Amino acid sequence: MTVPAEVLDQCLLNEPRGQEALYKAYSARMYGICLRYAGNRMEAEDILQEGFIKVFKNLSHLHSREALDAWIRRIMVNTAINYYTKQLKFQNEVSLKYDSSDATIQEDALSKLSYNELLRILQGLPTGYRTVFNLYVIDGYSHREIGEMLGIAENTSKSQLWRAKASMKKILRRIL
Amino acid sequence: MQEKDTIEDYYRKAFTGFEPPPPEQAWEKIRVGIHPLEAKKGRLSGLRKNFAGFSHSRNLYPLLAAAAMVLLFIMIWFSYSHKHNIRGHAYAGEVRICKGTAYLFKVYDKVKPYDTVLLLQSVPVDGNGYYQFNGIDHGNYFIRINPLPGTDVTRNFIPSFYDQDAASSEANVIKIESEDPTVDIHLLPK
Repeated sequence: MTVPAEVLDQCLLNEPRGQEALYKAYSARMYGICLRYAGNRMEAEDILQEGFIKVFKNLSHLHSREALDAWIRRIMVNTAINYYTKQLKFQNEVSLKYDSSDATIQEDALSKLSYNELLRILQGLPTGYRTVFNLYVIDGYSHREIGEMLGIAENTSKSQLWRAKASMKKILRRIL
Repeated sequence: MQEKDTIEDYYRKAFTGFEPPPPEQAWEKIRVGIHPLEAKKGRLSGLRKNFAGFSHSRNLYPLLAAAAMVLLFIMIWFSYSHKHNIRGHAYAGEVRICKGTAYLFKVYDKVKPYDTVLLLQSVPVDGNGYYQFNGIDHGNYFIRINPLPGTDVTRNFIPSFYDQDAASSEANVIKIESEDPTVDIHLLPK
């Protein structure tokens, strides 16, 4: 997504008109990110507001205008992580023992679920599971990067992801 | 692992490009966060505009006019509903006098001597000795009847207060509270 250069110039001059244009260009996409990381819609709204305030206050630190998309996205993700910092609890042991009374979850079964249902399953996960799942699966960070972002070991990130998916499967088996 | 890939892939596909409509008031809150002073000014300006819009709206003229009429009616009704009339006849002996003047005095003293009195109204007494005062507030009053000069009545009777007193200091006070009283007055003979 690109926004006109004059919009960025106005934002750098702290002009509300430009700021509103930038918000309109990115708000839907960023709200989607916030909803994934948040436990509910109200918290997602809080994160969205806090994230955009950081964007406008720190826009002068943006080195390259081409990197605006990634920069805003990163700010939203970091804001979401910081929002839940106190709640983030990670269990370090990696248990690879599978709870395998499991039937496979087929893609066509998943496709029966609406966005809202998928989102509710994700939001229902413990904060640590949800954060790592989002970072790794959807936002494409590696376990090493996640470890650095959250201040945890790479293996802890892996175990959180595994636990997140195990929890999701349990929920999915119940509802499908 | 088939399962692992299914959930990851499905969520990745589902939420890549996920762009739900943001909350309606979010921008306003962000604007307040980054421009707190302007937001405050904006609210004040909005209030001013609303007030100006209200006061200049022609659509409201009939409504305001109707409200003013209703208010005026209520005020008039309230004011008249708390007023009273005093009526009666003036007598010289057993006979009603023919013509004269009735005077109404407001009495401000609560007890005798009634020194603080004020003449409020005077009305003619008709040929049948009848008089009437209108629009009288609650309170204490004196009424005095003066017969028409040059008649037999003036020759035989003196101007008198209710009830058969020549001086206000001795007169009886008429109390006006909730009803319209009838006050017949008998003149004192000379």
